[in-house]
Amino acid sequence: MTIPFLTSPAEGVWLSHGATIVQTAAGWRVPESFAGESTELRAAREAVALGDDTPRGKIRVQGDEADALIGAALGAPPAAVGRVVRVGTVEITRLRMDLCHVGMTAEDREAVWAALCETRGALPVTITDVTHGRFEFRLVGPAAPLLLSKVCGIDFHASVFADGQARETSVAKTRQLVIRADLGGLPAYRLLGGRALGAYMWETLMEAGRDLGVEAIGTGALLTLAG
Amino acid sequence: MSGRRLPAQTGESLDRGQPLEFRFDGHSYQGFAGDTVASALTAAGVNVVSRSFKYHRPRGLLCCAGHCPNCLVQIGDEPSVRSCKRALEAGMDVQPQNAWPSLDNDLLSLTEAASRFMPVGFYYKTFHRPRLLWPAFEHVLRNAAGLGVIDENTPEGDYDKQYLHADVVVVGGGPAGVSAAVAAVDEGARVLLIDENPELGGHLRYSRPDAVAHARIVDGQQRLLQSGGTILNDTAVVGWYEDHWLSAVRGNRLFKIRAGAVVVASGAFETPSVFAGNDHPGIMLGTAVQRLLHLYGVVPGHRAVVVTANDTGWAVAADLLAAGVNVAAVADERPQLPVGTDIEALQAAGVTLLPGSTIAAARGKSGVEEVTLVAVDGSSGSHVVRCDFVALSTTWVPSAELAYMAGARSCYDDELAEMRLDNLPDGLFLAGRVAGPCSAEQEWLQGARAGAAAAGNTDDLPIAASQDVQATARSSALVAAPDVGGDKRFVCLCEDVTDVDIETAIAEGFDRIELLKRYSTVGMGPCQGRMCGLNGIRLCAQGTGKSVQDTGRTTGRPPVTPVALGVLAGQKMEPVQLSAVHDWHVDQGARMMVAGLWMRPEHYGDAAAEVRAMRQTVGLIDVSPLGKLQLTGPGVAAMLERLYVNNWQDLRRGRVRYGIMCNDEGVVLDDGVCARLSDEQWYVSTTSTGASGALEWMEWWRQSGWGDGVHITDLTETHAAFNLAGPQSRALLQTQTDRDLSNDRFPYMRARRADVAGVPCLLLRIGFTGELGYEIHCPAGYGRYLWQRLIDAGADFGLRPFGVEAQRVLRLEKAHFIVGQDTDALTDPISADAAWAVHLDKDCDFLGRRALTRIATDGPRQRLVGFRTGRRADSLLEGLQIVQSDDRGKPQIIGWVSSCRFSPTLQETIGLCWLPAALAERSEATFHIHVDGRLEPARVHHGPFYDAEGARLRG
Repeated sequence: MTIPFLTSPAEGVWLSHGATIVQTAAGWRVPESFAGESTELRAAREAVALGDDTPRGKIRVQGDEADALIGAALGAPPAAVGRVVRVGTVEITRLRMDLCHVGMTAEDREAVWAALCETRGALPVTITDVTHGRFEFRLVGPAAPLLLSKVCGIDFHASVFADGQARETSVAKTRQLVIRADLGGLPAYRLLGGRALGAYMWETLMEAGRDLGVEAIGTGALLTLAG
Repeated sequence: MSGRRLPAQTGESLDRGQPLEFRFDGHSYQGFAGDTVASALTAAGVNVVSRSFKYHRPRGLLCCAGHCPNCLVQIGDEPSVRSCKRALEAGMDVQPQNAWPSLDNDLLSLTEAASRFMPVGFYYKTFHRPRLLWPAFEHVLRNAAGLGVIDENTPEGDYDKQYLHADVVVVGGGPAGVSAAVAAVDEGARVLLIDENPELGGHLRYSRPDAVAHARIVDGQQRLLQSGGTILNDTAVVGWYEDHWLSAVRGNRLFKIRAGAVVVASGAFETPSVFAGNDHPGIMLGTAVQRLLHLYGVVPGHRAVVVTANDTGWAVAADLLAAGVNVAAVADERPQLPVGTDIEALQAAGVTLLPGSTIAAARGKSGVEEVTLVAVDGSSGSHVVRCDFVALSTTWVPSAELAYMAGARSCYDDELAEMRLDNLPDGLFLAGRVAGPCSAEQEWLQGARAGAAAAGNTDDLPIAASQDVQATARSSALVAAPDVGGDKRFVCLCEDVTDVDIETAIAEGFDRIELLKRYSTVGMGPCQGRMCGLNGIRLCAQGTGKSVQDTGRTTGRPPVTPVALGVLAGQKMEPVQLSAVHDWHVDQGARMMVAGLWMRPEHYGDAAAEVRAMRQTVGLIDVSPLGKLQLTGPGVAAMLERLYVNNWQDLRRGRVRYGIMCNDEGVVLDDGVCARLSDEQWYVSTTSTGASGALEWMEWWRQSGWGDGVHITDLTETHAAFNLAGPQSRALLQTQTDRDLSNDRFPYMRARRADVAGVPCLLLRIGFTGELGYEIHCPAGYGRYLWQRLIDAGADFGLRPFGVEAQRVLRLEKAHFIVGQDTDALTDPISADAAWAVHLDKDCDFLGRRALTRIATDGPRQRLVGFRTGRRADSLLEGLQIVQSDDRGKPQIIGWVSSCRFSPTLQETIGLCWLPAALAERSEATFHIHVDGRLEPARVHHGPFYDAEGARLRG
C-alpha cells in the first residue's frame, strides 16, 4: 500500500517558486529549498525570508482547567495572555484565559498529545489537534517586522512585541495568530491561520515583501538558521 | 533651452550631468535629473501649462508647492498630476488638461465670451427643463467637465499600505519640525518625522542659502537617526483621525500611523491676491519664484514686478536681482519701506520702490505683459509697469489642516490678518510658522518645546532672551485690491470663481460660509481651499458685514491633498480559501466558482454527465468547505436542543441527524447534520457559506449561558471532506478500508471512524444527493493523498468527480432546499416544507418556538414546493416570477422560482418555487411562470422527484 503523504496548503505556490520538495519521515511534503540555501540565508540575514513550517504540531487546549492540565502535563503552566512559555521544543501560548495554543515539532506531536490526554483525566478540558487545520509560516529576517507592518495593524516594534509574545490579530484581512519566535538571533515570527487560506497568505506575504527583497526559504536553510 | 536656466549653484537639486528628454503638448523639451516637470517646462520657456476649469483661460505656474490647480497635467495614463511636484523622467509624455484641440487653441475658451450667461450657480438653474433634453445636456456637460482622461485599460497599479507606530509624530521637516523631533527623541520617545519634501529643511531649502541653518538641519537629522528616530521624506500627511490616527501617503503607499502625540510643524504657505487678471500665466507666488531660483536654477522670466506686504517679498526681489533678473518695481502695501540690506541692494540697482502700493490689474495675451500698481488707500495715481512675470508675497496662511481636523479652533487675528489656532486637543502641539509669524530662531525654540512636551516633558523650558524675537506680521489685510475695472478678479482658481460670483451668491441668500462654498463651489476644487480659503472668508465677511471671526471657516476634512483611489485601496487583498484538493481540480480543467471565500469546482466540463455517472455508478465531490464544528462537554445535547428545532437528547452514539437552526423569529439560519461521536463529543456540519455565521451564533449562545461546560472548536479547515456517492460507492470504499460497510453494520444516518487508504477518517453515511453515499472526513493534510487514492481506486467502478453544478441538480431531484438559495431572511422551516423537522413538543424551549407555534397554528401563507414541467425548458431560470390573473385579467405576482434545473435523470426541467399555500397544497395544480413576456406552464409536485421512498439512499 502506498504510504500516505501530507501536504501543506501552499504546496502549489511553492512549486511555482521552483521549490525542491522532499518528504519527511512523518509523511509531510516540505520544500527543502527554493533559490538555493546561500541565497535564502542571505535574504534571511539581510532582508526577510518566508518559510513553511506547517508540519509543526498544533494543539488547542480549552477549558477553565487548561492551566492545571498544561502545567501538569508539560511541566510549565501558561503565562499571561499573549505570552509564550517555552518548555524544550514545546511553545505554550495563551490565547484567552481559557484557551491555549501548544506548538511543537512534528516529531514531538504524538508525545505531547499523549501527555495531555493522559493527564486530562476527568478535567473538563477539551484537547484538539488542529495541526491539519492551520498553516504555519515563518517570517525571518531584519525586515520581517517591516513586512508584517504592511499587512497587519499591530505594533511590531521590539519594545512592544518582543520575542516570546503573541497576538491573535488580522493579517491581510484574515484572522491569524502571530508569535514572535526569533531564530538564529534574527527577528522571526510564526504566522498561524486557517489552512484553506495558506496559499493566499503565502502569495500575499511574498507580494507585500517584494520591495523588501523577500525570498522563500526552504527547510534546509531554516534548519541552518536554527543552528 | 531658453535663457532661463541659471548657472549651477549651491543647494540646487539638479544633476546637470544628466539631461532628460521629454515631451509636452506634442513638443520635445530637455530638462535635468532633479527637475520637476514644471521647472523643466519653465526653464524651456513654457509659460502656459493648463487651461482653467470653467472659462478655459490659460494658466501657468502659481505656487510650485503642490497646492494650486494651475500645473495639473496628464502624464501618460495618469491624470491630474501636479507637475510642480512630479520629478522629471526621461521620455515622459506630458499632456495639458482641459484643452481641446490644443493648449494654445482651446475651442472651449469661447465659453468665456458667454460668461455673463453663466453666473455663479447657473448649473442649478439651467438644463433641467425641458426634462427630455437632459440626456443631451448631460452628454455635453460630462464631456466638457472634469480634468484629465481616464484610460480604462490602464493596468492595475502596484499599491500597498503600511502601519506605523510612534510615541511622537512630527509633521513637517523644517526647522521647527527637526527641532521638535530631536527634542522628543532626546526625551526617549519613539519619533517619526514626516516631511513632504525629498529632503529636510522646509522653507530653508528654497529660501536664500543659509549655511548655519542648513548645518543645524543636518545635525538634527543625524541626531535623530542615531537615536533611533525614523524619517519619512516625500510623504504627505493627509488626514488626522480620532486618537491621533494619521494617514499619510508616499507615492503609491498609504501609511496608517498611530501616534501617542503629534507635533504639527507644517509651516505656512502663501496665497494669491484678488485683483483684475490675477490668473495670467506669469503671476506667481514669491515662494514659487524662490523654489525655481534656488532648487532648479530657473528664472521664470526676465522682467519682474514684486508685490508684497512683508519682508519675505523683499528677499524675493533681492534674490531675483542677484540672479540677473530685471526687477522693474517692488510694491509694498505697508506705508513705510522696511530697512535692510535687501532694500539697499534694490535701491542701489535703481529699482522702483512703491510703499503703500499694491497690484490692481495684470494684462497680457497668453501671459502677463504689464501690470497696474496703485496706492492701497487710493490716494495717488497708478503706475503701469511692463513685465513678464509677477512675484506675489502678500499673504501667508498657516498649513493647519491637520490641527483643524483634530478639533483646533480658528481665531482670526485682525492685527496679523490671519487665522490663529487655539483649543488644541490633548497630545497635539504646534510649532513654527503654522502657529503664526515667527523668526527663524523662534522656529527652533518652539520646535524644541513642542517636541519635549509631546514626549511627556511638561517642564516649562526657558527661553533665552536673545531668542525671544517678535516676528512682524506677514499677511496683507486687503480683502481685494482697489477695483480698477478690466479683467475678472478670481478668488478660486480651481473653479474659476470670481469676487463678483461671491457677491452674487451672497445677494442670492447664500450668506453663510458653508452655504457659500457649496453654492459657488469656492474651495471645492483640487486645492480644497488652500489658495482661496482665506480670500473667500474675507469676501464673505465683507459682503455680509460680519467680522471674519464671526464668518467662520468651512470644516476641514481629510484628505489634505488629493489621494489616488488606488492608494486608499492599498495592496489588493482578497482572501480566498482553497481546499486541499484545489490544485487537482485545476489540473483536471475544472471550471472554478466562488462560493463565499472558497473556490470550488463548478464542473469538470460536463455537469450532466457527472449527474448521470453518479446516478449510475459512483461520483466523488469535494465538500471540504462544509462547516465542521466539534462540540464537547456534558451540555452539548441540551445546547443543541435550544439552537435547533429538532430533538437531540435522544440521539444515540454513532448516529447522525439532520437539523435546522432558526433564530428567535423562527427564520431558518442554517442546516446540516450532527453526529454524536460519544456522550460528550459531537460533530456538527453546517452549510459551506454559513459556517462562520453558525459558529458565531453558537458561540453567542454558549457564552450567554446556554452551553454549560461546552467547548466549540472550528474544524472546518482541519478536515477535508469528500462525498462518495452512487450505487457503487460502497463497493469502491470497501476496497480502501477494513471497516465493514455493509448496510447492517453501517446503515443510513450513522457515523463511523475508519482508516481509509491508511488515513484516519470519520465516515458519515448520509445522502444529500439521494444515492447510497458516504461523507469522508479526514485530516486536511491527507486530503490530496486520499482524494487521489479514491480517484485511482474508482477507475474500476466508473467513478467520475462531480462539481457543485451536478450536486445542485442531484439535490434538486431529491427536492432538498438550500439555505440562502431557496430560503431568505423571512423563511421558516414549516413554510419551507420541513415541518417534519420541527418538534414543537420538545421538553425544553428553543429558538423560534413561539413564532413557529404560531405559524403551525395559523398555517403558512406561502410554501416552498416542487414543480415539474414535463419538458426541457431552458428558459426557466431561478428568480423568475410566478403570476396569476386577477378578476380583471390583470397578471399578479403570486410567487417565484428559487431553484430550477434540467434533470438529466428525469429528462425534464424541475424546480422549487414559492407559491401561495392553497395552491401549493394541490398536487399537479398548474401555474404559470413569467418568462420574457410570455407564460410558461408548470405543475405542483410534492415530495422528491427521484426515489421518493429513499430506497436507493438506505439500501
